[in-house]
Amino acid sequence: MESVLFYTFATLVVTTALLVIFSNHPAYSVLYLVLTMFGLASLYVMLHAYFVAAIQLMVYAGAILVLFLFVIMLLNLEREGEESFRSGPSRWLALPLTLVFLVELYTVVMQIHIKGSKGLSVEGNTESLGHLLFTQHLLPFEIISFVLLAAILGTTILSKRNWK
Amino acid sequence: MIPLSYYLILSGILFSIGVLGILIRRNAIMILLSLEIMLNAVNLSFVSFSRFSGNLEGQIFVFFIMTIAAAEVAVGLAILISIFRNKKSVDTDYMKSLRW
Amino acid sequence: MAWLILFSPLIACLLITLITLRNSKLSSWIAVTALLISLGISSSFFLKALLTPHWKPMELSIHWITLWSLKIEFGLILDRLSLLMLMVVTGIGSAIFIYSLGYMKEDPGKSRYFACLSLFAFSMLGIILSNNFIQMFIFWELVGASSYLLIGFWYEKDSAADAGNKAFLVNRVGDFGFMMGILLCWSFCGSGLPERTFNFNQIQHIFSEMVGAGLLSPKLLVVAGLLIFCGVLGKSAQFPLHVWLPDAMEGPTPVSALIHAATMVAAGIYLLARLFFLFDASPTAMTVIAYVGAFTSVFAASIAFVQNDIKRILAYSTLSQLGLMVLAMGLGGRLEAMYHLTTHAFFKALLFLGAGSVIHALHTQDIWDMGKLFKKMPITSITFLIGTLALCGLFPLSGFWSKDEILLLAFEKNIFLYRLASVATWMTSFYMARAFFVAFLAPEKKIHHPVHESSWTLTGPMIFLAIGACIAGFIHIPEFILGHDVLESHINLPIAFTSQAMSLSGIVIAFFLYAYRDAWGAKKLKEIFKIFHIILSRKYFMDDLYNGIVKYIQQNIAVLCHLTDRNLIVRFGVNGVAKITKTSGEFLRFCQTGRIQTYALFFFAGITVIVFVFILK
Repeated sequence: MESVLFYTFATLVVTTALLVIFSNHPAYSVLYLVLTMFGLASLYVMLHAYFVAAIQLMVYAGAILVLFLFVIMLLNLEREGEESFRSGPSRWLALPLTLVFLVELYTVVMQIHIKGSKGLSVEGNTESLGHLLFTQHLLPFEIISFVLLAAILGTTILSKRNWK
Repeated sequence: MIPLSYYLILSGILFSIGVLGILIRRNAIMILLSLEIMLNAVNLSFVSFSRFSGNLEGQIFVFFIMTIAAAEVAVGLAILISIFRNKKSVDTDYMKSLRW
Repeated sequence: MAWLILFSPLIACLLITLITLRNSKLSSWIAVTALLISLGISSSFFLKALLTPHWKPMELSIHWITLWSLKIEFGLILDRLSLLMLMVVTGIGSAIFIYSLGYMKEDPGKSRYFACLSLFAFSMLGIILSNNFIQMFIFWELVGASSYLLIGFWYEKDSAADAGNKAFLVNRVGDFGFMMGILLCWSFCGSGLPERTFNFNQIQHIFSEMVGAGLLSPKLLVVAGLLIFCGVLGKSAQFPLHVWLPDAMEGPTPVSALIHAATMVAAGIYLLARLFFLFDASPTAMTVIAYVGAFTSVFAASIAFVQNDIKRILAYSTLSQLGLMVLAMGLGGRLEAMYHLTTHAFFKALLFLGAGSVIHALHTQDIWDMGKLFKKMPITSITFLIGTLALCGLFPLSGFWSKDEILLLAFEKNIFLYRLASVATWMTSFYMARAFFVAFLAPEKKIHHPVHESSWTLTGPMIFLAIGACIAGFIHIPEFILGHDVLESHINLPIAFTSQAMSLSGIVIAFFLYAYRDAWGAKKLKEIFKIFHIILSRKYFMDDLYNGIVKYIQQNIAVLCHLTDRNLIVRFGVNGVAKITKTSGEFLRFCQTGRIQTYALFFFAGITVIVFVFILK
């Protein structure tokens, strides 16, 4: 049962990711990416990371991808067709290089042996993560808020016309 | 139970797809999307490590990565918009003022 | 105090160049004062050495450079030899400095002149006072440099600039040998000792021990001696490196008097005296030195026969006299040579100053343009006459005493060299008498503007030097250097009479040929000895020979070197590297497309390779 679910979601994730990068119009890509995010969220649930799964849906599918859609609408991009892909050597180099990289990753992964505590089940629910975030990782948590603030300011400045 | 290596290989495949997207697409929006795929691939490996090593640190990491990703997308899209204002295009072939 | 002897001229030079260059009067007085200070201090040491019965030589030194086992000192050596030279240099130097006050009065470069002169005095005193090879070599070169500056003092004249270059380059040849000699000496002196040294006294000590133990091969000694003698060849202008000295007369006359007659050219003789122990150990080297000296003496004197430029006559005479000193050194007569050096410094400086006085008044150097100067310039004429007679070696002037010592020495050691020296003596008196009669007695050939006696700044030093030329012979220099009386009496009547007869005959012949006759004798002689005249007036074709060597051999080698450099080193070495860099840059710049994706591709490829390497490990 578990492996059936895993293979289903894995296939979903990989297929939609491929569709993301190969579809002609950015809007389609964004929509496929939403599906990828759903697949990933399901995998997170299978890994007992409920909180991460939830924010994956909320932040990625709900916020970031909507932002992408808005920008695409704003720029009103034409349908691009064949020339939306790179020409020249980088196109022909990219695929073999990626395949080599994959093989390498496979080799590396096959050598990993994690002696995890399989019996100890950690539940990534909101309570336990929230407890950790507000005790042990409080400083990074506060700092990341400054990063967000900087991003907000930066975005505002960048998108404003004729900024003097 | 699905072994760790399955998740890691899935994460690797996702990451490679992201890289491929970055390398072969000309549209800057597509490049940003591929970047998101790569980030998610990393997130997946973090979560699976967290699950298989029995602590929550990995998930905390994912939380931070998502925050940074959100910030990055916001700024990246803002930059994209200003480029579009100047060049009337988001094609990376037109973004080569750094050339000799 | 002793340090001040050396450094006071340097301070003067610095003061002049840095501060008072604009004020030529102040500059000149600074230079004169500085040298007078040196003179005062040296005299006090000299008198102390002269009057104290058991005066001990002094040596002051500081460690200058220490490189592991190599220690180079900076020191002063104050023994009787250096004190004598100090007196000669500072005494005659002071006279000439004062003379320069008048001689260079109108010259726009007066400050520069006195700065160079002070620099020269500093370097010369440095040579005298050096207690080691390295220091001496440095000052040796400094003397060369200041000589160059002074010969080319009127650098706007091409001939002067060329003469400066010539002097410098010819000296370079000699100095190269000198340096090799120093290094050779250093390499064998104390090769077994923990510390090698350049110090003269220590080297002398080690040397005598090594010679005593028979550790040094005679060949090595000959080579070392002759290499160091090369320095003497250059600086004291001995054959075959004599060619620069006559040309050096392009400089101002006081410079010729001080540097190219009295002091700098004597530095070679001083070096021989200082390193006498080194040469003394090698009879072969000594013989070579003696023959070189004797040959130069006759050779230069013969050229002086046909010279018309009064300064050039004196220059060849200087060469000839230096040859005599070298001859004396070569025969083992350190004391005799130093004796002659001292007296020669007086009368030769005097002659140059007299010539300078005449040149200053008449603005010509050609003796045939002069004439009947006796009445117009009595003081100059009389002092010049004294100088001439002293140079000819007439009793009882100073030249007699020292020259007689050398002749006596030669007579005892080597009868052939004695004959050569006697011929040189005869020739000397002939050409000097010729110069004197033509310039001062013969009827004048050209009408000049009214000629007056020179001012006191010119005549004063001349009178002083004339007195010196008269009495310097009575100061017994050899006894002073030795510190005790010479045992045997050094007057040999037959030899003295012979030399007197030779000198007098030369003067008398010159008198009949040149005095009161309108160059009649000269023309007649020229016709009779036409070939000799040509050979002599071309200076035995030495300059032409050197020109030929430079033109055909050196020039071709230089062209070859140039071509090698251009085509091999520059084209493939220097420009080759640049070209490779440029070409590879031309290709590599295509990698810089300006597209970030290209860079990302390279980056990714790099990571792939790195991961691959890690996997292989």
